[in-house]
Amino acid sequence: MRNIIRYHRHSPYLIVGSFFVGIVLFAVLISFFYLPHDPYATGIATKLIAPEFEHPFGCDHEGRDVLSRVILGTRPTVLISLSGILIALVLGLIIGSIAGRVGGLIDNLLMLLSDSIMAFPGILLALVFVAVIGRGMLSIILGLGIVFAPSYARIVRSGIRQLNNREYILLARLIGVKTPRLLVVHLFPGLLPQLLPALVVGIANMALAEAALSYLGQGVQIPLPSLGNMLMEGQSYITSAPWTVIFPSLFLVMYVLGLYFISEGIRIKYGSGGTEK
Amino acid sequence: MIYEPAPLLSVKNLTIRFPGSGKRKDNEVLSRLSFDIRDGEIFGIVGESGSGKTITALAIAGLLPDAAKIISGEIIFRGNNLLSLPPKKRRALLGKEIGLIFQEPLSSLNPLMTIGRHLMEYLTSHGNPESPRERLKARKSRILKMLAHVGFHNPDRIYRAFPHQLSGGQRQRALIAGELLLNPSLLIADEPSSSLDSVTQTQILDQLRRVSQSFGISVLFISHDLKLVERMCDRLAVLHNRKIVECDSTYEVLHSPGHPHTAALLRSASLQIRDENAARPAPPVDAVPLLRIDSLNAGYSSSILQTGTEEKEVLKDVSLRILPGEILGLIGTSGCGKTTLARVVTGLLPGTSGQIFENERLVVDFSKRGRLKKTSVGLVFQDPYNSLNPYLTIGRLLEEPLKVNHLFEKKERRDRVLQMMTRVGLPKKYYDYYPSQLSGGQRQRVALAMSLMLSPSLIVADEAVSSLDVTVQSQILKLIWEINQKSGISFLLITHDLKVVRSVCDRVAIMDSGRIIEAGRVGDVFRTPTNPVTRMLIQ
Repeated sequence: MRNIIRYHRHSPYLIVGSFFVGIVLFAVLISFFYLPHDPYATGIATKLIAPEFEHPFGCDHEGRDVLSRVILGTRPTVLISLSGILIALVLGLIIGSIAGRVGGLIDNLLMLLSDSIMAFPGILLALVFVAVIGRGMLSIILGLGIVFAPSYARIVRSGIRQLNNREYILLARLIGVKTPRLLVVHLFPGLLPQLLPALVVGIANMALAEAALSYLGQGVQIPLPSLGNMLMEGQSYITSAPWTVIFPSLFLVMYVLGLYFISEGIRIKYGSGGTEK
Repeated sequence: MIYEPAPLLSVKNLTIRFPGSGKRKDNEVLSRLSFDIRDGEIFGIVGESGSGKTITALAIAGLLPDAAKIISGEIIFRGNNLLSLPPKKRRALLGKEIGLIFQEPLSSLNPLMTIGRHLMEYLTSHGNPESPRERLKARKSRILKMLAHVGFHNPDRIYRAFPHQLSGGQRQRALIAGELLLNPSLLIADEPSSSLDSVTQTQILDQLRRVSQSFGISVLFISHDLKLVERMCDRLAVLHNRKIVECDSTYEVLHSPGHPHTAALLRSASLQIRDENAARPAPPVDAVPLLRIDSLNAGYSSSILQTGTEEKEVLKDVSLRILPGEILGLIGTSGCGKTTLARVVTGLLPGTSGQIFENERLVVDFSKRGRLKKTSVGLVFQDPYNSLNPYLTIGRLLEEPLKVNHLFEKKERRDRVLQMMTRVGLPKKYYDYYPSQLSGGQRQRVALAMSLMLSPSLIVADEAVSSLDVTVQSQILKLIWEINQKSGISFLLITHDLKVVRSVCDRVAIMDSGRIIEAGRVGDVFRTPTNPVTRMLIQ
């Protein structure tokens, strides 16, 4: 740990970012072992009580402990953002590789498709997607994954097109490397400097999109808490009981901001686009 | 007592370091450097790459990178110590009095500005004292005159041209013209001709010398090429390991070198690699050729290049034989189709028509849309920085050809890789290194080893030694020669450098605008060239 800190001591972005994201991930971790109160237990006596020793984050309009709900609510946010980005990445790699390696008409068609997806606001498309195939965690993940895929497809395609004529790729073809291996072993590592920061930012955007969907009632369904639907439930009490909104937002902001910081840190440290010489 | 005028520029005890941070030690790049440049002379600095040549030039021009620290010394130009002058004054002095010419003319030019505007910039930015209110027209005529002076026949066209419309040599001449407009008293030329082919190189250097004589300008000429320095310079300093090891008149230095390093440099510059006594007899010219290329045409279709509508024909009716066990040199000016030929022979680019025979057996007929099997010929590129995947270790790079062709077990593969590393003279510890940790010469060894892994009968080396400095160049050529002698692998050595051909090749083919214009034994072709283009190349 100490070595890690020393190694990164010149990049405050990475340290602060990892700290923020670390807190959120820690919340996810302990949600599996310990919750201070039952997050679903309602009670008249505890309705909208302000933060106190027993309930550090206060209670919401149904008397449920906000701390327990925030801890539990980080789970869907992190789960959806991470698995969504995985789907977006896999789709992006597949589409981008085909477009970048094959070129020609297929390239044009694929890029036309991804341009038309990117032309619409992501949230809107995700809403349509959820409306069509039904609510639920899986459809959110799938929907967000598909909506986010085109931007990665673009990065992968342009990266591959740049590398295609690099001499080491020509040599790899010459010694008989087949296309799948060429992509995975020879091309993908060269994309990392551009792809990695974009991916980390993508996780953050995905978390925001999930929160927005849940806020609109199309995301994670009540009573299961998520940072997004807690905001929706709390908004009516924002003046009388601001803690019902502040604490979920705090965690969401830490997660998103932390990821942005990490992305920026990676970009500064490794430079985007450059291969090390 | 003989009156000795004060030198134009004198560098005294100059020491420059890149300070290290933390554990990294200070990196000294120049150590107590001293030399003088007299009025009107051409002073040469030679040395291998990394010996500190460019840093010297940058220090004089006041363009050192921020990280560099001048530890001690002074640079006295016309009585002023440049290092103690306030920056503003120094810049005013340097801009007018010292001109700079770099190796790569394209990167010194803004692609969106015409040559005329570039040159106009020279005149306006340094407020020429002789003509404070010179009008545009007068300036333009001065520029045109200067362009004519550096050897352009139609300065008007050059004035309006954009950098990409000119050849490398023309760009370099335009830049020289720009520097001359300011009437400098010192011109620093840092490898001004290294990126040009031999014919253009000669033109540029002649131009530079003529200019120096007619304007009385001193030139600081920096190069790694002793041949050029010998032709150009009056006096010469040999830089080795951050120090000047020898400094005297060019004739003295080159004919009675006083330092072992100079002698070594001279030896490698002449590229005496062939040991005629040890050499195997060259294969008879009428032997069954290993590879016979018959009336090959090739080019790039317009969809890739997107220029015009028709296909761009690069190779026109090329026929060539490569004999078993020979080293065949292929020379020609840049852009004549050498690299395209290499790509067709290795199977990276299909030809449009023509046939290729291996041992008189037809392997591909491009007229029938045939394609060449890719793994049969090895290929080594010019720039080892680009031809090795930066994300793989040397061990994995060398194992890759065996792995993808499913040859041998894992352990056997590792053994073979290590054997190969020994064969090309790489220490075993480099197995786990990344290409970025190796020097240019070592990388080129790795590239060579990689092409050898599949034991091909022919290796195409496309300008494989051009980007290396002389000492390393001779080591790599020696390695190529040894491999050829020991295992009888044929080489097709593509180069623009006649020295390289003379040093290792058995036969040579000369290419000009997509055609092979002459081929034969090296001695015969060089002694009695039949084609005028060949004659021009050889001179």
